[in-house]
Amino acid sequence: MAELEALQAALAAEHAAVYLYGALGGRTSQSATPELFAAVAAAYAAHRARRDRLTADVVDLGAEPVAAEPAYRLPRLDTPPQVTRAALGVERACATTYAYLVQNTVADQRRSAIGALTESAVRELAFGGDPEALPGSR
Amino acid sequence: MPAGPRLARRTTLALPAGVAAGLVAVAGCDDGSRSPGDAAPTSTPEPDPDVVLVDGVLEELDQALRLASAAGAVDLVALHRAHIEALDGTPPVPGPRRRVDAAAVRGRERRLQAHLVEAAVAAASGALAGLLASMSAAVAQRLASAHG
Repeated sequence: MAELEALQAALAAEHAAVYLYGALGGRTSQSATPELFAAVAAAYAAHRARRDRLTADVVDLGAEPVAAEPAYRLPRLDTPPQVTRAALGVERACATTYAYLVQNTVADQRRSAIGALTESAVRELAFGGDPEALPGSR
Repeated sequence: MPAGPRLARRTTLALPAGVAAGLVAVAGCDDGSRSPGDAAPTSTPEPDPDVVLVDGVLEELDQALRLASAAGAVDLVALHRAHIEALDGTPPVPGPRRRVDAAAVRGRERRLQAHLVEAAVAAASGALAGLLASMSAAVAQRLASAHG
């Protein structure tokens, strides 16, 4: 079932995103880099919401939602540029995952995936990404 | 601007293989007994809904590109040109620059983005839906950056 597989893939990506943004938040200073701190906090909240929604979507299909890994490999996060680069990588990965979800869903589920793809594409800009011709198509 | 995948309309929106094979088989069954005066079937096949959908998207892209070109928004022109080509369309020849309100350009881009979302939702082909959604996200990026 392509839809369920794509939903599970998106959920797995969101588990990773929530974990990484949690780590990024811990390495970002609200006083020294307020804009980055705010962007990371906003992204963390957005990905948590997407994760919860995807979990519910999988349950609605009668399946067991894929669980988060116990831990994820973190890149070096010693400096603001490293944090920014890591966040950009998360958003690009999520955009790609949601583009896949768009292709494998219909109607409201597809509309939701388009919204998530768009949100990640726009968030890329906050983390130093350049506008692309086709976000999510990497 | 990185080159993205190209999704040729004639390939992506082609008739399903079974339908095409059926048409060939019917053509091969002609035993020559029909006289030239016999009425041939005149019903016109329904157009592929995705072809109609892409034609509508190309029209929106054409209008957006023309306005962006008149306004001198070179990044938008490049984006829309890339999207038209990805849909196997032909970009229009840019007209002369003229005075265009920035709000008009933003409004046209928002309209285009909304159109792309609806087209992506409506597409029968998953690959086409993915392409249109990605185009919509690209327009959203432009709206969120310099042209927002």
